[in-house]
Amino acid sequence: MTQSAPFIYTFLLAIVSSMLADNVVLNRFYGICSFVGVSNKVKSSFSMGLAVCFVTILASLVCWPIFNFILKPLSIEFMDTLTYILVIASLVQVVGLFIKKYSPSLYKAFGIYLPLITTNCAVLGVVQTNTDTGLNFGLSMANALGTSIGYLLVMVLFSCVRERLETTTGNKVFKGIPIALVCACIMAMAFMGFSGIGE
Amino acid sequence: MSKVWLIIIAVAIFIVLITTFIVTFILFRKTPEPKGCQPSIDQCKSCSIKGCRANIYLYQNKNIDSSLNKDESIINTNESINDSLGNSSETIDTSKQH
Repeated sequence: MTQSAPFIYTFLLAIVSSMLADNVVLNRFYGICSFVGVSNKVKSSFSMGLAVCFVTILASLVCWPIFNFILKPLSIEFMDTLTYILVIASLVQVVGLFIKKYSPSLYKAFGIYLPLITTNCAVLGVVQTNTDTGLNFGLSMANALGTSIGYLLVMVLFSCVRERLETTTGNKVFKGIPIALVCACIMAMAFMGFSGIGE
Repeated sequence: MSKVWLIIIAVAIFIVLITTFIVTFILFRKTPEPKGCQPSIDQCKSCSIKGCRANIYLYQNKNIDSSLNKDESIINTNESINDSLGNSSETIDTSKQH
């Protein structure tokens, strides 16, 4: 119990800090394309966030053993990025295949967002960070979990803001993407308030 | 381990990963789309990516529409020919009566 308590504390701290203080979108600037492109509606951004959550955790689960048990012992660490890209792309195809065959309702809910995850750099960024910083398996899973929940949180918050903005009457120059980027900037500054939470 | 062996192992891993991706991609493509899960075409009309799943449906539907239009035009022309033939036969009949 005395040994597990610090690990649980570190695990939870890693989740919270990667979710809020070191947010993947607003602090590390990964996954900006989907952040701006798919955040028109709350429903679509929630679907995208959930799909990214699922694939990020699964990719971290698969890529960590590949790096530590295959690439590192064979001294071919230079292959890491290439390996991760191919593993993530294959994972997305396999997940899509199973969902397509066994859960049509979930496939309908994910829609076009499932294949789009392959090109989401947030997934690759998380996996790369896990191995570059030398995290152990538990902490890398915590990082993946926290980062993906942070992505989901920011996507849903930003889509709520954008839905409200659609109903407002403002200057035509700021309509659409420009005001969305201004809002993203303000959100990023707001998230800076969480900095130092994991130290 | 010598550098040559490392390169060979790296290439072998790369080939395995590429093969895995191609196999999963083909399996995904071959799995039939569940009923009612076709993507909405109206949202994708302005998109220029022709390789996208949704746009493939769009182009397929366009081809079906165009073939249907062709069939309709063929039917219409046949009807018009029949009508004209019928009229001409009537005129011929009337001429015979005269």
